[in-house]
Amino acid sequence: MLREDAVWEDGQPIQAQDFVYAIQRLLDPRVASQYGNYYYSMIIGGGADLAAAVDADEATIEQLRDGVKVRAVDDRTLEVTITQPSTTFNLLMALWPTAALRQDVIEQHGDIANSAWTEAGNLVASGPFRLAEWNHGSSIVLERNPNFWDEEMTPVLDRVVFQIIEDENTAFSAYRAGDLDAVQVPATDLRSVAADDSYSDELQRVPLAVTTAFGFNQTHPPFDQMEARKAFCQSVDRATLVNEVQQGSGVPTTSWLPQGLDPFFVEDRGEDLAFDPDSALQLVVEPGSSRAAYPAVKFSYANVDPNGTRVEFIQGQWKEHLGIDVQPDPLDPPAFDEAFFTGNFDLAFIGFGEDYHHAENWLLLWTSGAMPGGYSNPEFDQTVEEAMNESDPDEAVELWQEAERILIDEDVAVCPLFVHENVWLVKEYVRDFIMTGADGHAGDFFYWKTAILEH
Amino acid sequence: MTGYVLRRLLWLAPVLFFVTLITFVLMHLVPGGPWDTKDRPISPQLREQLESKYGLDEPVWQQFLTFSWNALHGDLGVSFQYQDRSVTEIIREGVEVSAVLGLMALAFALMVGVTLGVVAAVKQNSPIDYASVFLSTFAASTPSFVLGILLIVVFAVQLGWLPVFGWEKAWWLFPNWKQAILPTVTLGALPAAYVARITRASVLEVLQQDYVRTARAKGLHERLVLGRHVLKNAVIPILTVSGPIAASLVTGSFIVETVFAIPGLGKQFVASVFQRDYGMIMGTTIFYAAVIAMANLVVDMMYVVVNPRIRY
Repeated sequence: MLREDAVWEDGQPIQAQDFVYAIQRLLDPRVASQYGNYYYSMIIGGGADLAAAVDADEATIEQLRDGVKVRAVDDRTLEVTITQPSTTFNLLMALWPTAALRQDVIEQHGDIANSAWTEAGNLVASGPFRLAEWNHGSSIVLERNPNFWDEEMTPVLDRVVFQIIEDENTAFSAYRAGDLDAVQVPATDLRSVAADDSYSDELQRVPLAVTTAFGFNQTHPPFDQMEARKAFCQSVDRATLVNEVQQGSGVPTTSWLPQGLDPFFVEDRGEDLAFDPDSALQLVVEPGSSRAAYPAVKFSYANVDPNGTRVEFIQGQWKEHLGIDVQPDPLDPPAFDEAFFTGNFDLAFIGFGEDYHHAENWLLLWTSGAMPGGYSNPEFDQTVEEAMNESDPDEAVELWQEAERILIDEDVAVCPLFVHENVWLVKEYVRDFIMTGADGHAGDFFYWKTAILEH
Repeated sequence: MTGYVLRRLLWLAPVLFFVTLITFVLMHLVPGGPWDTKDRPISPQLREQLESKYGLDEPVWQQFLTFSWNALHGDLGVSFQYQDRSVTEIIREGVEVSAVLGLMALAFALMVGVTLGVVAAVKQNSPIDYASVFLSTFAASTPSFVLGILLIVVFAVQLGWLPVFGWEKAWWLFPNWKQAILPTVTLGALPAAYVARITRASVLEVLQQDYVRTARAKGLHERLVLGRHVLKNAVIPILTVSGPIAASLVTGSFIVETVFAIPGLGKQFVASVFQRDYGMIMGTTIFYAAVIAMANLVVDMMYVVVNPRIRY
């Protein structure tokens, strides 16, 4: 059921048909939506057939689209039939890919796959702000939506201006010069900013639900052996990595699920993977896994700052504590993505940030065949499947925790290092600048309470 | 002359063809494709959908023919990274910014460079000469990102006289003059130093010519000697170097545009390679090839104008 008072920024009511159109468009192969695969196996008649109809003619696609079990019972009731009971369906439906869309607006600017409708002046949305200007490559300007339906959440600010500045040092200079009200602190300036008392009332830090780790290719020796994976993981001093290399940004972790992912996060997850060079050395000198027999391995990473210094540190740890020389393999980002997703790596520096706040989003990635590197454990797969089908919420939580235990403590399928932190400087005259753990970018933050005081 | 220009223009066609061909082949050889920039695994289904949407499911030679045919008709395709926006439109928007900045930097470089060079030559071996040589050596040996950051820290952060970043159109294609100063100086510093050195050397050479001595012997005022005899002849090498300088300035500078957050084409060009944005890579490369070829042609034609001894 949709609320009665919800309207688009142009005053038209938001109707169930707008959601039907959005979901149909999401699954349409001509649109090639990046997020279609979250949904097409879940919605009956949705999916697979429609998504696979890549080269089909329009009539076939329309026929398949009409077969998707999404319909508007009346203007205010949306009905979606799903393939099996799901505890995360509500979360998925609340994500941006299924947000309502205006068919008339999209079609006015071209075919179903066009993107001209997203330009300022064309876009019709329904949030607390509306898109006033989009100056490509320089700025995005939002202004208060006069037709926003929720009076309690009506923003205080008239306008929010996002300046698009690639160079973080330039952005930081602009903040210091007073040209910006809020800015992300450059990684290289973090220590000096944190130590500077004049910034102490302006510094805001929020842990981010993004886990950084290194992954193993389990089809390449020695990482087919759990002992080798564990040894590599135990020999990295995460505290020094975070405090020195990262200038204090981030929180060391041995868990794949990030802190704050309640109720799934378990405090002592992966405690056996914590920094322990003696144990690590024991593992690699055990008979059958002698250091001399270790094949040469390389550590692949996307060569963007500051990954290079992180990888250099980790590589140094392996050399120091295990006596093993690992070859760093810097690749430019698309080349790294290709190498990683085709399994062409030994060790890879990776990270994951969630789309929705649930263990499923984090653990479904590791079911057999899903993650490059060949991790496959039928026991893990089965636990995940049971968790997804479990209708009792408490039981489901236990199953998800069990799945992560298998992944981390038992199999050491991946070696978590630290969770990221969002570090911002916000002028003192800005009130209620709200960041959350799930939102990494300025555009995702919540601004309706934000206010700028006289200054 | 007309025949020469026509011949050169005809040559442009094969040049652009081979630039297109080589870029196209290299682009497809580099590891990682346009979908490897999402930092998440792309399902086989989505890969198929995307390749079909952008015509990458055809054999590469066929893609090349399709692209060339469309390009001949003025259609450079769409950007993969920027939500299907037309490449021609993105290039136009970028050029409007880069070219204006480049022309302002060129004007700055010529004014400052010629002035410094002439003063240094006329007052050779005086403190003014040394100061001018020092200044141009400093400008020539300071990388533009260092100079840009230095100017930002001094004039924007410390003194607060000028904005740190931005390029908002205020009048026609020109930005607010305050926003223009720092990037113009940063971009123009190196060519200014170069022009200063060329000017100084050229003026010094002309000053030693017999006709200058004659002019002085006649009792002409020094100002007239300089204006009528020296500068007119010293200008030839300056014009010669201005052509390539102009071409490199108006095509945009990745570094200056990044440091000052200016939405120009230089930044787009570099970013398109890192994003494997096939549409943008092809579009910008062909555009640059055409601009540079035309700039060279104009320079060659200018030789004839400034030096009547050259004939084609």
